[in-house]
Amino acid sequence: MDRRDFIKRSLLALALGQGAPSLLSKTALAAQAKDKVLLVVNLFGGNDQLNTLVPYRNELYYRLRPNIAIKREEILDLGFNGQQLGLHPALRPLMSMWEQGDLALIPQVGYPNPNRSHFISTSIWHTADPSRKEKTGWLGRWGDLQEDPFCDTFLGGASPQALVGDKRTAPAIQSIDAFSIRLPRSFEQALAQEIRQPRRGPAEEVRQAMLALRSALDRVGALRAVRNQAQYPDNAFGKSMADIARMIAGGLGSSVYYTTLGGWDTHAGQPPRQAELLGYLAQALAAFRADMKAIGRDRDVMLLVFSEFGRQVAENASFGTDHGEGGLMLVLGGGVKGGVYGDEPNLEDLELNALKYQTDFRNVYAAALEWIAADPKVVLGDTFQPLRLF
Amino acid sequence: MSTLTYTNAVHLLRRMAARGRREEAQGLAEMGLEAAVDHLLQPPRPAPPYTTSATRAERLQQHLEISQLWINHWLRTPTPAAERMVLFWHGHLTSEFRETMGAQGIDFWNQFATFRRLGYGPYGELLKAMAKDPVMLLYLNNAQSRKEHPNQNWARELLELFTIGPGHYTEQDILEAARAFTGWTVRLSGGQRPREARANVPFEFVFNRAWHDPREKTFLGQRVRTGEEVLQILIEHPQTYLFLARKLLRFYLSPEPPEALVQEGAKILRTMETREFLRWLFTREVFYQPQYRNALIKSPLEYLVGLLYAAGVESIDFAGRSGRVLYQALAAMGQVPFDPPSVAGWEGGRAWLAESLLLTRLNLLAGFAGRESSLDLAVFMDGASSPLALVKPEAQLL
Repeated sequence: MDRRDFIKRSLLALALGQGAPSLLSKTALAAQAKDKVLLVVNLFGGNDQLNTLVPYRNELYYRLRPNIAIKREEILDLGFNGQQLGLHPALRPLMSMWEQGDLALIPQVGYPNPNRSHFISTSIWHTADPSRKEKTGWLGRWGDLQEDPFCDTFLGGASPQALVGDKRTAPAIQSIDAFSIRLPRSFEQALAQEIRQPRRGPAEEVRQAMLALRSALDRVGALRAVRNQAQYPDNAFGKSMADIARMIAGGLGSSVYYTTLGGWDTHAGQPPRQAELLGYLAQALAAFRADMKAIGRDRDVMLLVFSEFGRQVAENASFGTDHGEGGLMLVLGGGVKGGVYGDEPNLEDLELNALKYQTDFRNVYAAALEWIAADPKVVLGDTFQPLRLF
Repeated sequence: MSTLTYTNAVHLLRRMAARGRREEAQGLAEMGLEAAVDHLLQPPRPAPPYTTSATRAERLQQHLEISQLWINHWLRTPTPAAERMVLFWHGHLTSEFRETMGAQGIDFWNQFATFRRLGYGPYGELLKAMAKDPVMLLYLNNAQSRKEHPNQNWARELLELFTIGPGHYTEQDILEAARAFTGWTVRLSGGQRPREARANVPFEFVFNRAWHDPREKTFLGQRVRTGEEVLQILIEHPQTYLFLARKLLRFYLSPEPPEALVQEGAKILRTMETREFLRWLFTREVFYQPQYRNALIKSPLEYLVGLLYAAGVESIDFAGRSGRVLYQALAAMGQVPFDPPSVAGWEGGRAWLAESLLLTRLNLLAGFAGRESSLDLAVFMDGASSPLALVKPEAQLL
């Protein structure tokens, strides 16, 4: 598409946006493929499993957490299939999903020889390689095999390691609405000329980034006219989730979307902080699914939520918890088989005050890869048994 | 005295200070290499004091004020290399403004003053000061750490990110170090109460004996009792300096510094001041080799300061309309001063070039349209032959 076409298309999108906002609706689907989509949410900082999916019938839980345990009467009961577990009250927006049977809760997820560093453990989850030899991300390796530069999209500043391949890195878009170039004509013309001239070394890297930006401007610009129907939390994470819904509705065509919600490193003053974050998470997930239902895509999207580790079991003296090992994953979506995939945590068999891991995260990744019709063996190497999540 | 060509002076000034104009580079070239490096490494000029009329709850206002104060100081100071050095320490011995709820603008401003005062000195001295820095104690929760169940946050990051790095300690070492630092906490200056104090009242370090665990600990195989002893072991540990040398070289030389230079640099850091390390690096021939020119991507702060300085701007006003755009652009480019994205600081390098971040950098140039011919881009970038050069990839390089 040349520049003139681009301007025309942008103007058209703009006109649509101002005159007749095309709300997310089934008609917006016309030109779309019915492909499956995977949406990954990375909770950076280490979410505390025990206060998210709470073993509220276990006396030991209350003894080990005299100040920060979730009160029994506040727990959202999951009924018989939740075994002895219940949800944090801030997760109420997820309860209807649980009742519909499309919310999967996977406790004590981890990997052999757990590492309690944020950065090392995050890198292990992103590369899917606990031996730490692999430099590329699990979805980056999948992306290397795709042709479309927008096969995956990151919502945020710069794509994380999970989306870095050998050949390419996922485009990183902070916000659809802010994603337009606003330069005087002379600058834009000069820019167009400069990026035609190959360079070497870091200058060439910058030029490549400029080329990637140019093509992203074309693709993302067309999405500005698409509007959300649901209400998202008014913060960066909520906006990212809202934008992902717009990208799917507008037909951007990515099979993988990825975004981050940070702040889970609750060494001190955990209860109000975690409640706030869980609230944002649950509200955004619910809003996103409402938007997907509105365009008939709810059954196409699998959402996968993870954190680099769970937190220690006994609380510390500052109303917080320190870095642990096994943690909680959430998988949800209209096509997902709900339930608790694993056992109640064993609070009597701990590793330096942390829950031992029970399910390898790569078994969950394998299922997610199958969801988007990718071969887990190609991406994850060794064979992992995909969890039967759908 | 070794000679310093004009071209090399440009490279030196850009890399050390991230701002400069043609005549400054010419002046450095006339001095010769050693004198030019010494000139740039002069003791930092102190930054102006910070006072605010904001309340303790008005932290965003305070953040805007200290950000503006820092950028204006960087634009005006006769020792700009010191401000890039402050940026290095800020990205290494990190604290996040948004995550450190109790701390005020004044506390962050004081932390930067410590970077300026001790940043060129021996690393051990800076580390000891940071271990008692109120912002650090609040940020990594040591201020709330008590013997009954120590908080491990500071101890872990001290080992992993500030000294010896992963692979050289166990989880047990973290627990033991955390015990040793219990009782290292803060109070408001003069013991004032937060609810009654003005935002200009800073925190200060205080040792709370009642919270401290005085029993013996085994840390990295040695018997210790106090936090000071833990720090001393880390300060004497060779790994600390390999770790730091690599990080400094990544900041000042290239994303992938040669291993031989890391080894050599670590030896200098271990026995001498950080200033000596920098003097060594910038007086070496290798620093001027072609592959190390333009080898780094400017960080957003470096880009903004460099641009403003090239345009002859001496101060910005974030409260004004055009200033507000710049303040927001820093966030949209991925670098909010005083607020790195995590305790590991800014990833930097190629990550600065992600789509939305790069787009913000380019859109920022609109503010310089019409002024192209009055810009002095000689130091800001190579290849600034035309007035529209700012859109070239080279403008993004340091």
